[in-house]
Amino acid sequence: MESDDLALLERVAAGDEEALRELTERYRAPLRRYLWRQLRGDARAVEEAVQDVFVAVWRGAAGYRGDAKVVTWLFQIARYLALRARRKELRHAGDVSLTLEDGDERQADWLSASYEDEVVDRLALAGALEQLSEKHREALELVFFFGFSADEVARILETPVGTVKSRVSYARRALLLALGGAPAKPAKPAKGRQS
Amino acid sequence: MTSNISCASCRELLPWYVAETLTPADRTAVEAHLAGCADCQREVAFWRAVGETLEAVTPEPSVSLPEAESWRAIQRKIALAPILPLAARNHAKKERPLMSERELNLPPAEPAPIKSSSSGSAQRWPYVALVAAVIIIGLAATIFGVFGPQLRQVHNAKRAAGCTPSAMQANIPANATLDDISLDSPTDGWAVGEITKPHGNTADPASSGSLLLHYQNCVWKEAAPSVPGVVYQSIVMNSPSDGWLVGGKLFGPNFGGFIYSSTFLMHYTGGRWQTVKTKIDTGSQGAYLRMSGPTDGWLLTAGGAFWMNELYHWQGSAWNKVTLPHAFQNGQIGGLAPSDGALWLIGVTYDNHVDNGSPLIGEYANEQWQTWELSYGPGQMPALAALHIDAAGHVWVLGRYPAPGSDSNPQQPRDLPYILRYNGINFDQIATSTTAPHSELLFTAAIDQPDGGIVAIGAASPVNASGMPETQLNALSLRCGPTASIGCQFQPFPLHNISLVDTISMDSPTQGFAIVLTMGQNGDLTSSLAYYDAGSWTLLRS
Repeated sequence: MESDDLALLERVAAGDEEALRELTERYRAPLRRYLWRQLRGDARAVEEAVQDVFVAVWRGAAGYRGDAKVVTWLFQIARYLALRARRKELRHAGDVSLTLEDGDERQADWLSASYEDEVVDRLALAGALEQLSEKHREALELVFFFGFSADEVARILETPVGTVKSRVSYARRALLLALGGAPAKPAKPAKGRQS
Repeated sequence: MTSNISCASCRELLPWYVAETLTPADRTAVEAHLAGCADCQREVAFWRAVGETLEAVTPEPSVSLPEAESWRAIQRKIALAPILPLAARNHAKKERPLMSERELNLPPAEPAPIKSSSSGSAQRWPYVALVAAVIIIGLAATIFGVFGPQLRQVHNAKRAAGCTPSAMQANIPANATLDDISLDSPTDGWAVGEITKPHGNTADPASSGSLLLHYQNCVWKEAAPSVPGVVYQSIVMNSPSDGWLVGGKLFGPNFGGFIYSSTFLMHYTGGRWQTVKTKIDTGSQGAYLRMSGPTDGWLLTAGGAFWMNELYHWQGSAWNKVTLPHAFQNGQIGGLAPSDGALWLIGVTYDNHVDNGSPLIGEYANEQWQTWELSYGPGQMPALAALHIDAAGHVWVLGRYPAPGSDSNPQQPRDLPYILRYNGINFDQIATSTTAPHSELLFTAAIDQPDGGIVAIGAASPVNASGMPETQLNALSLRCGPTASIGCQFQPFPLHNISLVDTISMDSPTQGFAIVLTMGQNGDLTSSLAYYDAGSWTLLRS
């Protein structure tokens, strides 16, 4: 798939609109799905952002450096566009999220509580996922739903790999808290927010 | 059995193990550890449950646009040079990025001279294919004159001469966006825009309402209640007792969920604003008004039915339609400026099949159009963003062109200024400094300088450490001239924390007010007003 994507991108860089159309058909659906949550289900904004991803690809294809997979680049652009579109909403981003603070990656291995019972209840898990903060949920979606490696998630989120792993770890802790299975205390308290 | 990775290391990798995106080496190490570790096996069960539940609960987005139409919309966009459309300077400002969509990496380009000019009447223009009839439907209803508040000026202005910048005040309501400003004297002026409800549904016309500010006695403040579903887009005051305002009544959501507006005009005369009945066509993307005097005005309605732009000329008694050249009818018009009975336009053609959108300059004088079309290779197109006619009548065109990275950051392409000055026959390109460290560049206006040069004002987005364009904009300025040989040099913009200097209205050669945007810590942009006095700027307190 990646070699196909690169071939398409080369054609796009040469000004081949049909190649852009193929790329659009291939990635429109996953991009829409990713942007849907990023843009709070605003169908107009999602459509606009998806279009703009491919406009950016059209204009930037010739300069594509190839140091990330094409799909990673697309998601990177999509996230950048979503951030811009959401600028006015950012101040309210924390309204519905749990108030967990990120720590550094050295705290990734702190949980020793039992959780078998909690995970059995998928409904409760679904509810817990809904309560996750946007950035924790986004990290989990990129890992599980869209199937990106840790390095790729880091590239999309423009953050170090360690921070990605930390976010996933804290997402896990938040899920368990929401499920009622309070984990043991971390090895040291989290201090401050890390992006 | 034990392995050589710890539980901690294993657990760190487990989400990607479950998602099957580990490298073969990591996968082998994890599997070796899992074979002898019951705790980590339970962890695998947890992540499997998370992954499966996430799959189940991630919503399927609703489709706002059929795929074929979405593709046509993309085709339209890629046909356009990256230019801040007129619409973005009007009511759509909140919903569109201030920067162009152009992204990340662009092929290097060097500016080329203007290839050719053409002249003659509109009929001699080469035909440009009409935009496919997919963009706007159902715009037939026009409701000019049947709505629009009858605004009454509350009291006669008591002129306060000699306000110091520190005494000036701007009482701008929360969630307001200012779109245009016009000074009719050093002590009297108006500004228009809109107020958007916080958390409002952007597809709901009633989430926006009109905003009209009046400057008197050193204070900018609301002159009329906000009217829901109406936005004021552009204003020109010819004198304290004569002015025009153009607005849009929002309706929608329509095709693709976009909000459209129908254009209406209001005239300030006899101390009050009143709606004028006129047969102007609707401009779904906004409207723009510029006048050189009480009997010479120009109104552009942008992106009406089938993306057609329309131009109207006021000569004292009626707004009469002027036929635009085909390329301007379908393209995006980035600015218009009247001068001595003539009108100058800049924009970009819209033609998917012929030239992929060329930058375009036009002059309308004596009922004739003369145009200049800029010819560049793919990826090298400059974008024209602002027009300025200086006191001596020189026409300046401000824009940008895509350029290679700088010596210090060769991987990051950037914009460089593209400045043209009309020499009476054709346009000279003015050389500019090339040390710009930003990836996006936007010019919005210019201010005359005493020596005959100008200071071009705009904004740029810097490049961050990882080579990506920042989402923030910073105001900047460029000093040009007075002669072409001197060229243009970047100079610091004296006010900090200003993202963009938008429209400027001068009430004397050296003084005026500007709409500026400031960016908060959360990245949201707020409209404010700033006072300009002979090179110094003051952000007005609220």
